[in-house]
Amino acid sequence: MPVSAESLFVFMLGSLLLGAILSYVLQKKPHISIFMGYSFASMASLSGLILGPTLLLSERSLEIILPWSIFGTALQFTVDPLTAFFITVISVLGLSASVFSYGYARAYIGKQNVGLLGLFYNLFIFSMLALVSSSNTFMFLLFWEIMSLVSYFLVVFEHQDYRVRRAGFIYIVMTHIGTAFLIIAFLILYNETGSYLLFSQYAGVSQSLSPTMKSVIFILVTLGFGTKAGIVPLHIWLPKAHPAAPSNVSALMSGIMLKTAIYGFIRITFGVLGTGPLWWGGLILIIGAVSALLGVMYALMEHDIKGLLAYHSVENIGIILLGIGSALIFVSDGSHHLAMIGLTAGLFHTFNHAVFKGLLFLGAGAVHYATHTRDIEEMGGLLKRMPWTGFFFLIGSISISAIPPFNGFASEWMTFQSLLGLGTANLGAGINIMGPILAAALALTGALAAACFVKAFGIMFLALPRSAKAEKAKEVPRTMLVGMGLLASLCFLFGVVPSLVIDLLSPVTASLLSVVTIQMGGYDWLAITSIIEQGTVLGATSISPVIMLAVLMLCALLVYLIFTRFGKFRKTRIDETWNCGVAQTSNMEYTATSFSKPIRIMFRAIFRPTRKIEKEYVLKPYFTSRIKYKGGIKPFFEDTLYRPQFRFFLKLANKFTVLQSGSIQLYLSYIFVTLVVLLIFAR
Amino acid sequence: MEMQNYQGLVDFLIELVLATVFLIIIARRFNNVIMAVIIQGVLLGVLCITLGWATGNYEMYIAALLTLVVKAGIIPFVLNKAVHKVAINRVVESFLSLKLMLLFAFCLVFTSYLVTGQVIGKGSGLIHEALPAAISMMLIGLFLMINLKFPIMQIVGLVVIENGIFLAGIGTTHGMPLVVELGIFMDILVGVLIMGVLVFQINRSFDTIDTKNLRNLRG
Repeated sequence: MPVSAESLFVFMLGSLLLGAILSYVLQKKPHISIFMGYSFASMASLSGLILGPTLLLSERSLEIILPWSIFGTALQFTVDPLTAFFITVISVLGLSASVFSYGYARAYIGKQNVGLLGLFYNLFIFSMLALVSSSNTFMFLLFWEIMSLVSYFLVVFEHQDYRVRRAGFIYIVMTHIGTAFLIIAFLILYNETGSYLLFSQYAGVSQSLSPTMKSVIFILVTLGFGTKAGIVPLHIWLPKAHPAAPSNVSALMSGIMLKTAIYGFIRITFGVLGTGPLWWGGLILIIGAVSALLGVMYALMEHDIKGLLAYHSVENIGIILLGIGSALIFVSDGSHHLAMIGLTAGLFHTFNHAVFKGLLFLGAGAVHYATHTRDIEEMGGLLKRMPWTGFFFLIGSISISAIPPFNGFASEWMTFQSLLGLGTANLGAGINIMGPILAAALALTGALAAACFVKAFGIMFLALPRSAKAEKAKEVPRTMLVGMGLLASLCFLFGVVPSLVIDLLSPVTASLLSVVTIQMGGYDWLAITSIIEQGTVLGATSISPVIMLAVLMLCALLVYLIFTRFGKFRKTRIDETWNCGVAQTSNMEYTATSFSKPIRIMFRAIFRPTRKIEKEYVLKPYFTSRIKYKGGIKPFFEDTLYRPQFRFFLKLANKFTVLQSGSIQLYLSYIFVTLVVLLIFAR
Repeated sequence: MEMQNYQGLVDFLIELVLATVFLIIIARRFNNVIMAVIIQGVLLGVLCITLGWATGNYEMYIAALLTLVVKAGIIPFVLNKAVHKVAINRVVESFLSLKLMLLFAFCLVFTSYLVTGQVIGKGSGLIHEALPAAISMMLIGLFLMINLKFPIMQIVGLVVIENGIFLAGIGTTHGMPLVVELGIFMDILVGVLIMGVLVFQINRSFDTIDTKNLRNLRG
């Protein structure tokens, strides 16, 4: 019996709700609760995985109107190509994270309420799926807010720790500041375009908006979605909230929740506002470049593995915005071919980031599961103890560092191409210079990311264990490995055959830019992508991941052959590494702090490193008994941007406490005076 | 029967009701305050009967009966009981002096006549005096709540406000639906009962009912 796409969609949302309820109801039996909760989440993700690509390939849209309404607004869902693509992204990560969670959530049995975790976990995926399918602004905001609240509850899941509550507080304040901007933007749209709510209706009417109004909406939307996506300097909640949440949730938060902001941004700028002035794209490009660079730099200084990954989310959002920003510039210029490349680069990186960042967060979760610590300085030697986790984490690390033949490379390469396209575009000298500079910034970002993951992987998995916790680590349960393995294989698959995704993206970009004649995809199967207009191939990327893989394998084979051929004659002696006659301990190892020191010195203008050395002497100045070293970096944005505002509002609030005297008579007189004054003035 | 014939009588009654508010202001002992509240209730009842007679609306008689029972009976009784339990022989204390209070009250009456004078025209057939008098009563009631120190006086202030609302209700319409009036009566009755009980509780817990001590509860 053929299943209609509509019923599949309803099934997807319904099973998530059912999973949420069952997981909560069965909380007294944690094993069953975990099984139920994550099975339903997996089922929903599977149906999303079938639904999204099917709709994209058949190039059709869905309209689903549920027979209920909220506050007089009908529950109407539209699944157009963009939505179908994001459903696919959410489902890919949703499936892997859910499979991972079977094992991971067991660690909480007896410590936390796993039923509650299952409830929020399912609701979280539900709200994100509903958010990207909402067809009107009201529903969009409703699910946006549900998503924010549910993710807040997930962040403070281990609320016994005060640092977790603090992180949660910062998160919920920041996210609501963002929502405030969005509400203003949507209200302006509503007001300017008449009484419509549907995105599709806005798109038609917004052409009549005045350019100033359009720009105001654009700025508001950038700020609003930027807060959620974590652009610099609105990113401060990210490195606090991600480490606080359970790892399966951090994977979802970093992998897809940030992407819902990208979705919203694309939906409003490309779908509703359409063509804008040149500076829109310029602004997004600069935000993207700054976020990418600062994100990766702060990541290098971070030694909490999940905090490090969170800063990398800032970096990758920056890279995504670089693609989208160049697309915006090309759109305002009218060169749709290049715009398509830029937008495809942005969306493709969105997909890839979800995959590899999800993988890395799951890997970090697995390591935390095994060692009970997140501080990488306490790890080490984990590769021998957890070979599979280490292998998958390595794949994720290579992907995020944009090294072929994995997927991070493919999308960053496309971003490079669109940025370099800016250099040759006929848009004036400013943009021509900006393009290559941004490309250079992106290259620097990639290099720093690679350095960062050499640090992370090396310190975590190689050498000797640095603590008893790391020494006792064991490989994680199989379900967790399956979850990671799924994403790792996708990293490889889409790195070698990126056209699998780009084929799916072709209808998305075509519908967003409303060009029907141009297609992108793997028509030239060797290239990352090729661009086609009415059957003729206009061009293709000048690099082929397949050939690259072949060369890499050839090299590996060559090296192997050389070593086996010429190494055969040497004697192999298995012994301890030569160590100057001293017993080797983990204290001698390179630490994460020392590894990142050169970079801290190179970019000291940005990091403003602080250090404090205290010495205790037995006999001054030659015999020290203890040396205490304390190093750190100045939290620049917190100090210069947030703390003054915070202080100002606190002061203001203190001024207002005079009003709150606690005297009932005074309170009554406020009412009284107001009444009399109003009576006199409103006469 | 025609409204016009009773206009003088009705206006006169309304002014009398307003005058009782001043009685409350100048009363220095709780007994006198409660007496003034009873007089106000009775006058409102009489006003109600007169209006019922004038308009031929028989529901007004039920309202009059309720007014007499609740406002001239139960509420003063509860107040009296509260006074006897916690503050017998106490003198009414206020923040402002009596002269200032009177001056303020006159200003409030003036203001309300000023602001609502034009709302109801002379020839509208409605009672011209009712709205300004009602507004003055509400404002003075609130003013009493602000200015007097004992919770019992806050209840009295609330009762005055309520009477003002009632006056506005019956004066500006030709009789409200009975359901609305019943609702208001229940409301004020329950409110007064609860506050009466609360006053006992506050007194028992803190040995005082002076509202300025509530300040200590502030965080």
